[in-house]
Amino acid sequence: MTDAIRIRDLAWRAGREFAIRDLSMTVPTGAIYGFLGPNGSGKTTTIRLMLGMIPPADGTIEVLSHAIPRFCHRALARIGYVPEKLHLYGNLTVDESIRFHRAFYENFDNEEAERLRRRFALREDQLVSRLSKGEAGKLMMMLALSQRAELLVLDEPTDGLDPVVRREVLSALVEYVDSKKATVFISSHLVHEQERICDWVGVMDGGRLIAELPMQEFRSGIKRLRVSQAPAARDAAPFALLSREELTIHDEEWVVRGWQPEMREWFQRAGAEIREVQDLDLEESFVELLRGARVNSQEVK
Amino acid sequence: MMFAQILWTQTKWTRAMVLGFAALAFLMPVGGWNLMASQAGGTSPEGFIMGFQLVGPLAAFIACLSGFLMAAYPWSLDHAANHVYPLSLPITWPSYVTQRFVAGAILLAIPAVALLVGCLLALSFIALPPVLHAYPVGFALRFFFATLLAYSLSFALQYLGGRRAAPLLLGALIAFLVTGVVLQVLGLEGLQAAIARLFLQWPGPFAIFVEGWRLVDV
Repeated sequence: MTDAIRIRDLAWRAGREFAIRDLSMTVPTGAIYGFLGPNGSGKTTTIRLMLGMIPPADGTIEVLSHAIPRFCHRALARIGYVPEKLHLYGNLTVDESIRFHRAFYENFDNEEAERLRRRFALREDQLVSRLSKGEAGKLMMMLALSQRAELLVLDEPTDGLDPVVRREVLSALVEYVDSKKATVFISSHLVHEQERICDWVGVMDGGRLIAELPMQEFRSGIKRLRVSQAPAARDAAPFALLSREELTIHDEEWVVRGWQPEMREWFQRAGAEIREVQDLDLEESFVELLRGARVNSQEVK
Repeated sequence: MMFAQILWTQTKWTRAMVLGFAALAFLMPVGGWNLMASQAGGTSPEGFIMGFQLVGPLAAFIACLSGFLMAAYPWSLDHAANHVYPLSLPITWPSYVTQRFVAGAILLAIPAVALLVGCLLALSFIALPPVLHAYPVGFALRFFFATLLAYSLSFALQYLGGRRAAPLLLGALIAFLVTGVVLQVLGLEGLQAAIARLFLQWPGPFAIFVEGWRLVDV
């Protein structure tokens, strides 16, 4: 089975301040891929590159086996996209927006659109510019789901929505994925929301993808260790050390990625002892990942 | 299907503008001739000629303004969302831009038709020499082509120049004026006039905005 999204060595630059660097990413077909990262980390830019809206400076992008940006219109025919901000025309009504949108998609499902419109309680004659943020989010999601897309690319689809609307939107999404077996690429900085629905995670920071791993591994593989007589060097360590901090003369706190219980032996061989292994919740794991990546990049500089 | 929707949205966005310009275009000959004819003492050919002296430059101005606005307004709606919506549609950018252009150009024909109807109506009040009977058609066609030229220029600047279009246009205008001042200081003002002639006199690209609007151009 081919990957739904395959990006290799992607580079892009905006002025001197911001750049996407050496970004390689793989989204397996059928996965729900959570694209995490703090604000300004490059998530939206990566999505725009992925959809051919801006041309890359270097690297290759393949979406649904179409080379991007060259054949982005072919890929876009099979993609449902919900951007971060309302992109629809404000002076059309909900009904007019549906009619406009469906003209571009061969597989647009009118009945599904009508069902979702009722479910989301969107009035047909309401102007898009007069919709609340929640209603606008629901309209964009409704259009994307009605396309019967194979891949949904959702850029912070629930950002700023109240919990009730967020739940409605997410449950419609989960139902769609269940029935259509679609691939979902969902960008967000809301870690707990991703935890509930995603099976893969990619973490962006400062224009770089600092981690890409299955959710299970992300959830259980990042640990906080209390290490006694910690070794100075960490050569040939079987895990990735994200951070280390001195607690007492003898003890240090390490945050590691890829932890397995049998790795205790490595510490024993180095003359150290693990006093405690703490599970981190997803948000802590995310923060530690970012912290580790930033420390590493400063060390490199 | 796609084009029908693009044309429909274009119509919805610009219908007030189109109707406004159509009304102006319709009233221009009727109003202008009535005014001039009454001053010339009746619905005479003299009044007709004087009417065109008034209506001609006004028509050129309206053609320019309507063309510019009809391109700028739909662009501004796409631009408000950084063109994300059209760029996310499964259609190539050149295809989208072409369809938007054609949709706008079709709507531009409405003020031109209104102008023609206004001219024909005004003509029905006057006994014109047979040689002048074809003039309203030529006048309406000239109006349409001038509108189309202004529209195309504005459209091309907006869609190709993007957010740089306005500064580019302003920069070109300032450069033109500064060049004029510099040339005047150097005693070479004839050069700027020559450049202006190059653009504004036949066969210059913008001659349609300046020449041939009056019935008798001298």
